[in-house]
Amino acid sequence: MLQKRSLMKVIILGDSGVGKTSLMNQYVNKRFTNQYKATIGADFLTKEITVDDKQVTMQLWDTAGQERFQSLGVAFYRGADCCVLVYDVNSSKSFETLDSWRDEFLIQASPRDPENFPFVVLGNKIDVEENKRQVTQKRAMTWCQSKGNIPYFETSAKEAINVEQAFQTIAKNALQQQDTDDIYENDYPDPITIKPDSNPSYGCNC
Amino acid sequence: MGTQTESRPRKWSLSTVSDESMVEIKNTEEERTPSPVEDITEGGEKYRLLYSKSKVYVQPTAYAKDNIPGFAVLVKREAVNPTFYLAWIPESLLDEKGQSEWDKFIKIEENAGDYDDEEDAVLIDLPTRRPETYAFSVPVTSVYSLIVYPPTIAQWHGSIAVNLISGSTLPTLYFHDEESRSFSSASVSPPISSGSSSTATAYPPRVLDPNGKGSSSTSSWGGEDLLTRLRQYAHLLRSNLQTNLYLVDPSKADIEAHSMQLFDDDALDDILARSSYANSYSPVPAHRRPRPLSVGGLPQGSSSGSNNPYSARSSVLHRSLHPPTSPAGSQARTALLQSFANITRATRHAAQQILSHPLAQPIVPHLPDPVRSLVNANGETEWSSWVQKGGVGEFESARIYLARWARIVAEEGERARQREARVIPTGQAAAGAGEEEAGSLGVFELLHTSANLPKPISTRDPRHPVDEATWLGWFHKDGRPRVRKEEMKKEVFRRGVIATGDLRKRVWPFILGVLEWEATDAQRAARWEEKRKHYHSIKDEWCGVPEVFNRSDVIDERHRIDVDCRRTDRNQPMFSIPTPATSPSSSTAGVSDEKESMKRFSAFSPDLNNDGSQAPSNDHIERLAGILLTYNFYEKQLGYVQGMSDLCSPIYIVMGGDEEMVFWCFVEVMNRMKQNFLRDQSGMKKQLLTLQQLISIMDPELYRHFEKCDGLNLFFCFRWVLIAFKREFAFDDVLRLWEVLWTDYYSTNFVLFVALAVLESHRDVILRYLIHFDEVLKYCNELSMTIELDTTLAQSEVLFLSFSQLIADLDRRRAEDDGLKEAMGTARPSSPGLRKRTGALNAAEDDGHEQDAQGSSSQPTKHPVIDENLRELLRN
Repeated sequence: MLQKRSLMKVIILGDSGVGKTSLMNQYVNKRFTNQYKATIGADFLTKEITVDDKQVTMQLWDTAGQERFQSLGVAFYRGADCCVLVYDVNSSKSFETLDSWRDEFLIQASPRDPENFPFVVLGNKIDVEENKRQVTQKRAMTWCQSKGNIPYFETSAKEAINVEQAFQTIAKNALQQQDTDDIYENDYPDPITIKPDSNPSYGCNC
Repeated sequence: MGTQTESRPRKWSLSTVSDESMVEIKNTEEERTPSPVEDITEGGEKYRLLYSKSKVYVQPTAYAKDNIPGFAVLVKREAVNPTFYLAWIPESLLDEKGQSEWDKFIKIEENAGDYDDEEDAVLIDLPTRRPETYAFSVPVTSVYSLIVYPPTIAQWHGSIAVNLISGSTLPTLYFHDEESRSFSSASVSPPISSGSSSTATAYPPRVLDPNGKGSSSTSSWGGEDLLTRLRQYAHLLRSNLQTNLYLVDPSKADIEAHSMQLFDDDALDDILARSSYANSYSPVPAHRRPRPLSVGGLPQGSSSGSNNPYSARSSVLHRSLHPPTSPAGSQARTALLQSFANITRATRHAAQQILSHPLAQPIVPHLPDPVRSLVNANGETEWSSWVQKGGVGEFESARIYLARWARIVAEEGERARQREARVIPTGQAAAGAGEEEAGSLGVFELLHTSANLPKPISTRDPRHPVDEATWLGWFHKDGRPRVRKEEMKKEVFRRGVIATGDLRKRVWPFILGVLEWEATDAQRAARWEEKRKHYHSIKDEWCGVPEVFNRSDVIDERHRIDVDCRRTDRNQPMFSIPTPATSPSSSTAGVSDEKESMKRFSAFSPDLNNDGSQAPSNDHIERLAGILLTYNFYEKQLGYVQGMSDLCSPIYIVMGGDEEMVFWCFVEVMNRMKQNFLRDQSGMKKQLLTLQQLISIMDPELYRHFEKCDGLNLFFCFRWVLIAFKREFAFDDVLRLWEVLWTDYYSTNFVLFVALAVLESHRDVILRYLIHFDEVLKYCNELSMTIELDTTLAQSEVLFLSFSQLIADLDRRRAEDDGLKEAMGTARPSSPGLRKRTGALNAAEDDGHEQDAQGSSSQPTKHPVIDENLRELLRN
């Protein structure tokens, strides 16, 4: 059995206040409070997970949401296996900035194959009353489709809706990314079956 | 008589003292701990020599050639209540006194039994201690514990390390019995001819037989001999927690802790037995090893790590814990053993808490793994598999876990020691109160190797904050000051402002410069009225002006501000109370005043519909947000940046919500910190670069470690610097810290010294356990709410003073060299001002390397170039 790198690095990006820290904490610690302070600098949480019978340690990086701090990103983005873009479904502004978050990430992390680098989009705060919603599911999915079929989930960190499922997908995609990276890097003699057909689940499970 | 070794010139002038929380460098000459390491020749007093043991070595480095032979002695100061001292005197000092002095020591060593014969009393006057000699003498009552490593096959020379109640550790004593007279006369071995200075590598020394057979002959080992004698003057308790630990006159709590078996859980012992039974250098503490290993008498098999871990010095600031020359394996071993030894200092409670923590149980049996992964830079697979085996729920890097653990143990040990130090009456400690405090704070000292600069001490006195009476005493009746502003600031720096009452509310505007110092109350009131008006004129630019208030860029700004204010210090009473019934969004229908209505109709939040997704607001939060928005109109270039709400909120609370005052205080704070928030982050980059340069000059070893960790960007200090440690301390401590920072007493950028102090307090843990950037980041982030403020500030001050001394010294020496060169007609090619700064890294690296070179070489021409960034730190 080949020694696989057992650490996967996931970066969570999005406007300030969309719930990045909350989502992370809901996933890792199964906790929610609406009193998380604004993230200054960066922090990460880790969680041990099993994906396809593999034990992996997922490192989830949480960074400050204000665009001004993006220039620091390069130190944190490097070596990422997956990038999670989060917006607040009750704020169209936070949705509209996804483009720049994605671009910025690709510039700073400069992954080997930007076209196929795995992103996952999370529309958070779906627990808030429906009439406050500003971004429809359709609009979000259209955007995701246009960016190369980015998997999309609608979540609530507060109510723990779809969080587990979303991060399972994130983990799978990150692992796949590692595998492709390994092929690039190690040039294994024996063929490894790449499954381009194993497209990540698309759409919202709610 | 006596085997004289030629006295080589000794280069080391420093000895280290370690305590649980940090490693310190002490200039022995200027020893300042409250520990009564005192000059025993004070007043020419005579001491009666009770016991003497020759050929006891201090080993300052890992090299045998550096070993210093001397005598371990017990002496008695005659008095109504005689005091007993444990001392070590290097032979070189006796040489200076001549043969008669030597004879005294030899005589006592030979007549080991007749110590109570009054007629034979041998009086000595112990030589004056000098920094280079390592000599020490301490009252037995000041000794906390002894760590005893009897000789084994692996380690020919047994050793005893002496830990003082003050937390200091004296140089470890190595008993070279094969050279010692007492050994040669007591054993069948032929006496060693005098003059032979060879360190007996030609024949094996006596080794205690692991089976106990060979140890039947009494007092076969010099260290044991000493212990036996010591027992006559003090109660020695051998610890159950760590069998090579002997407590001297232990406290009741220690007796309880060290006499009991910590773990009764046999199952746990089984696990341990399986995992580390055969591991002769297992870092698992002796008491946790399978029982059959322990035999009567002195402990066996625990001789590893008897390399003096404090012997190597590689940093200006600190000495490395590990001798750089010893093989990596034993380094790591020593380090880990050292951290376990710390446990014995902690109370039973703490040890139990840590070791019985659910997370610790799976980890303890596998402890050798992280040790190996430390040795092995790419030991990633090892520790990850280790974590898997351990089945820890949430993944923890082994190293982060160990680091945190070491920190907790160290902190608990430190607390226990301080309690201890408080209880023990400082009998002969004639040290002044100030001195005592400096010692109890564990302030580390630093010295430049060759400079021999005096050791700075902290001037802080946080226990006596500036109070109402003091404050009022600084003013005449009409409000004019009686003292200079600098004096006021100095007092605030030293003592802080009393937290009770509302004094802080009155003092802060003066510290920050919102209110003028040199003025009367009337003058101030007049100027304040202007400021009030000015504030409202700025606020009116947006308040009650819908076309501005609802402009898209302002809406964006309001949104940013609103989101953050709703999550800033919500545990503070003013911000925690939800909005009362008159919620701004509901009951404004009949308000006649249009402006008021404008302000209220939408509350602050840019989008009413948005409220649901954020935490609820209240009036104070709205007002705080309003102040921040107004600042936006006052300082148009900056815009709201995350972190500003953190800076404004404490001011808001101290000022009791006095809007205008909060605003102007905030303006002053921002004047100090604006650069942190610049759009291009150039300010923060510069700050971190300066900190990096500071580390490189003050602690090159740590600098190199960060370099290896890919951590020279110091992003783990980002939050500390950006918002002046707002998130790292409890709210009340933040207030105390900030008023100290604002005094600019030493430096306008004192916060960097606070950052350095925090790093220095944890440097050993960082160096030992954290080898990746993310680990350091995680560790630093988790320091939040664990940092002791006053200790840190005292350390910051010492660091600043040392830094300024260092710079002054370097400048002086450069000037001297320049003078020399000029005299010789050589032109100096470059000046610091022309030094190009191509990149942060290069400049700092240069500094670091030059610093190193400077430390070791004696070439007069090489001086580190002090970057302008560093010089700016000296400005206040």
